[in-house]
Amino acid sequence: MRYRYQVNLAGGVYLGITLLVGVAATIRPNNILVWVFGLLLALIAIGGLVSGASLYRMSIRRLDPGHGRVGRPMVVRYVVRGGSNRFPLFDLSITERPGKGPGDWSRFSRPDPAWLMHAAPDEAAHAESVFIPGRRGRMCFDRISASSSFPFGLLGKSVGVSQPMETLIHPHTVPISPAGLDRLLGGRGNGDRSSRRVGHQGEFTGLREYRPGDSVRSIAWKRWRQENLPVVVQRSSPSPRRVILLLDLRRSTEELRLAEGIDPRTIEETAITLAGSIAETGIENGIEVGLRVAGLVTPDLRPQAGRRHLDRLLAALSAIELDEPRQRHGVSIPPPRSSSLVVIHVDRVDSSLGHDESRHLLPESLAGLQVDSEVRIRALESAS
Amino acid sequence: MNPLSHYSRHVRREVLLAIAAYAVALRAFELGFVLAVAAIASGYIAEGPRGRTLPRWMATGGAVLIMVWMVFTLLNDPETENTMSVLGRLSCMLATLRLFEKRTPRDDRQVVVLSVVAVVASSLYSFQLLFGLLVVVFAAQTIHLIMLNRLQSGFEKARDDRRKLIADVPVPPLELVTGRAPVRQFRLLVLGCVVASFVAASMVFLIFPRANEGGGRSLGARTGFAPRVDLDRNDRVEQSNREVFTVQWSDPRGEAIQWPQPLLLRGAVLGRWDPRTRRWLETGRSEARMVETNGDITDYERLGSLAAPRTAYTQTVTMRSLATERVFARWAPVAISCDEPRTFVFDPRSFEIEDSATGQIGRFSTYSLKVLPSPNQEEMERLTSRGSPEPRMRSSVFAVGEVRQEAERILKEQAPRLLEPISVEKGEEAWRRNRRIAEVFTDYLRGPDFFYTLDLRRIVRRENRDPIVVFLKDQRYGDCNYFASALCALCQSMGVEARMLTGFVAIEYDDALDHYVVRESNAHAWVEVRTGPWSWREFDPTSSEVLEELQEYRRSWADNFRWIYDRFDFLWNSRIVAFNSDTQVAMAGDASAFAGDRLRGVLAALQEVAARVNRYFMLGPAGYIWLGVVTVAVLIGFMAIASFIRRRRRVRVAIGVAPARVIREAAFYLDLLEAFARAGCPKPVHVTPLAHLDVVRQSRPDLATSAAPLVDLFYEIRFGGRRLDATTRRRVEAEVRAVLDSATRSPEVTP
Repeated sequence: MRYRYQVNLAGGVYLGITLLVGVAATIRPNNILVWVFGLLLALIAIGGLVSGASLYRMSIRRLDPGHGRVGRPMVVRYVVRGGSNRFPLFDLSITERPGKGPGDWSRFSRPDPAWLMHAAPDEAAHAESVFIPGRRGRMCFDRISASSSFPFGLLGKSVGVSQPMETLIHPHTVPISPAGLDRLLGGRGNGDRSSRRVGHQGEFTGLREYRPGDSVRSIAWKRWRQENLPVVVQRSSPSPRRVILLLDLRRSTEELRLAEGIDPRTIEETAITLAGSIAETGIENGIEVGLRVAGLVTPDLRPQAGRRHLDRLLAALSAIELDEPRQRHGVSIPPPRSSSLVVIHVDRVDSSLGHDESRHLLPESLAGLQVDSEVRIRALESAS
Repeated sequence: MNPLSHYSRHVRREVLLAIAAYAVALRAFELGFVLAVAAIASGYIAEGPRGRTLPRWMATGGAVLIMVWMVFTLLNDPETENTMSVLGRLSCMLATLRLFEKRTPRDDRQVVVLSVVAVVASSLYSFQLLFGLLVVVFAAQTIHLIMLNRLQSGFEKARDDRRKLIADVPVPPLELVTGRAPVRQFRLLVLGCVVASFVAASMVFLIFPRANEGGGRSLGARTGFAPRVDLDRNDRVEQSNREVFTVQWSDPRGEAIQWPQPLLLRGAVLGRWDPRTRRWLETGRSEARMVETNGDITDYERLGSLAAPRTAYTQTVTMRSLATERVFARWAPVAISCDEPRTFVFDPRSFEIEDSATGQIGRFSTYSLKVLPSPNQEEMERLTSRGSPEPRMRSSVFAVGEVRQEAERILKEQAPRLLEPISVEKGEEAWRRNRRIAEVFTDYLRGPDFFYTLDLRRIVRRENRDPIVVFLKDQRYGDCNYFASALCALCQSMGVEARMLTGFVAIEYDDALDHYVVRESNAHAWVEVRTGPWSWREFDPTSSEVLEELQEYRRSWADNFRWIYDRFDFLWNSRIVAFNSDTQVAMAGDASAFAGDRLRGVLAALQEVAARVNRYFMLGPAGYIWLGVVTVAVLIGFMAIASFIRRRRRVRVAIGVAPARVIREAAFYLDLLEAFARAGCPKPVHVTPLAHLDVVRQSRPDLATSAAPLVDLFYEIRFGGRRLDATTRRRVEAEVRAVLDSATRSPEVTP
């Protein structure tokens, strides 16, 4: 920890007034003035003592915010514990010091210092700061600075501590209209699929020959005796719709074939936003969504549903580094019928990527797919 | 409920206190009342439910107008002494105006600064107890408000920063901490700061270097009495009811008496009018005598060669607040005593007595005089100790010619016979004529053409006309200074020996306590006219009826409780206001004497104990050496035990709650933490030892490598229940020492 003192403007004015009163008390034989001068001097010393005692050996810890989302408030919490068991902490401002790296938080968001009004002696208190990231990626924090000029504002004292931390900023997403989502899925509805899981899930669909791995509980013992063959009960469970998003990033930013005046990096980010928006709306509508990225080394994510999987999808999209070298070789294309395939291209549609039933989108498609702002407002109003 | 709940109320209270202090200090109660009402009204107008605040431009315009008005006030009355009062008034008005604006914490800080300026400016004008109390309350309130302002400022800044954030979804708002604990802790902190700052301020007050004349003289000018008469002022005379001193009179038998007429207590004698400065001045002392008292109030020292006769009255003065270095005595003092050893200067020509050796006020609490109200010729001769048998009659001349014309006009109308020339050699007849002339003038001034007033603000100062002439011919109203000046001037212009006297007139008699109570408002001026070779007779152109009327007019129901207030007032004046370099020296002497006595006492007690122990063990002369050795050993043992307990406590804090054995065995980890701290990697409380070792490894890999086995060992002891044998313990200690050395030797690296 590094402790620093600084005299601020109010302190300078105060010192000036103190000096003037001191001179007046020396020139004019007036004991009340002498006492006032003593009081002014005393406040300087007491201010330094109280400020020092409350910040001395203070500890600050940043809690991991998990992740953030572009354009949405990300609350970063700090745990502050005063070092003194006598003096409470008041009026503590906690700021993140900007660094120099490309992933530094200052390149993502404007600062919003956390403010702690009170922390009892020897007790932990929480302060929160709100960041609104302007872009996705890995956002890095390093130095935290806690400062206070309490109690009298004459002397500012700050404490610096290094706590490196990294958090993912998910891409910006917009809600996709139901009609647009249906179009992407090619009109496919929900179906059933056989399940090997035991229990009472699903409906009875028939009997089949035993295969290794089948649960003992699924064996149809009576039919086994009749058929003299191990037979198990076959059940089915509802199968939601599936979609695999294929993000085509095989061309590097410089090689994109775009009209003049269009920022290629913005188009790439819009493509990522489109992928994130489809994934989010899809999962919210009970669709299983998978993700594959062509051109960059990223793990393929199988179609699944649920909030945790959405976080995985968005984290994968956040981790995409557009400055990394692209790879030309293709990705494994899922077979038709197993799921819908939506290919998102950046500049132009390349129909060789995907199969006959796959849907091809460009970043411009986002405007046509998203819910109208008016509809969104209505939806928000009804929700509230 | 949070500490900032009543923030606005505190700002208003600050301004109200500043206004009250200013009004009390400068007796500007009308202005104070108006501003206080405005300040209170601002709470309803600007901070009420409708919140009607002044627009910024209007407030700025108002401030400019007030400042212009103040500049004109200063230009109109460019007295240096008034500058700070104008500044204080300006600050009060600006602070009140600010209350009607929509304020930020920054504006509130300006209000605080303006209030402080008003109080500091006021403190140059007042020494009253009430003002002192207001200053103390104001200081406490200011400390509270500044601390609140810091909180409010931090909150508003954070809230504004938060409001500036724009996001797709609403940003969570900033909220204040509420509850009893923050409020209680904040108030305790404020209280602690107030108490500590007051104690520290009092320390500064005690040791602050002061000039010897201190607050005394400046105070003397404000207690009503002054050893001069200045006719160049045209303000309102103060009517303070503050008790200055009490006077007890006892007759030759020792019984307390009350005089039938107002008792004039002489302070200063002024014989010469200076038309240039418009002041009555002292004539100077050529035959002054030094009289020393020994501190025994019953032991009187002669002022002249006359011993106090049995017929002498006793006048005992008990100081209640500060007045002057003058001794106030009735005609004619014969001997003096004081409850402190002091040196008085006695002028046998004017019978003035003062403590000019130290020149301080209020340094004595009681003095007593033997007085002969009507001394005979022989007594006067011995009292004055003049060489000549009888002082000659002197013919006075007054410097302003117009006064003589006026005097002749008065005599021509009232007693034309007195204008006839008379030979100086006709002694008795001349003295009688003098007395008669003084009586005529006194009656004239007491006549219906003149009236007494304390409000001198309507008097217009004229550069080319003497104020006494203006008073006699045109003005014809004024306070006792004008009346006495006119009488003295008229007498002197007619060649009659006369002199001005300033002092106090004692009217109020306390029957219960058998003494006169003399207040500041009893300050008075009158005239003495020489009516015989050894006698001077008092002539007071201000009639006693007027004085008694004023006395009655000044009394209020609050005066019934003044006996309570006056006690504190006396303490305030004698302990705080009169604190000066002499008091500092005396206090330092007392403190050193007290400390010296205590030290000597402690040393003597130690010697006694040592001797007793020596006798008990029959150690002989060498026993003291043994005792010394044992004492040193006990001290070392005590320090070792204290160090051990302290280290044990630190280990317990470092490794958490654990059995005593574990604390003993794992104590080496404390040294390890010390080594990390020296290397610039202090361990935060929330980080585990292994995690912290990883942090150390990033900046000091060498240190981490050598410390790693020790950290593992710590885990084994702390959580695995491992016990160390003596060999392992020695090895661990050696390794820890090596790590400490390594951390100290290597350059510090900041992570």
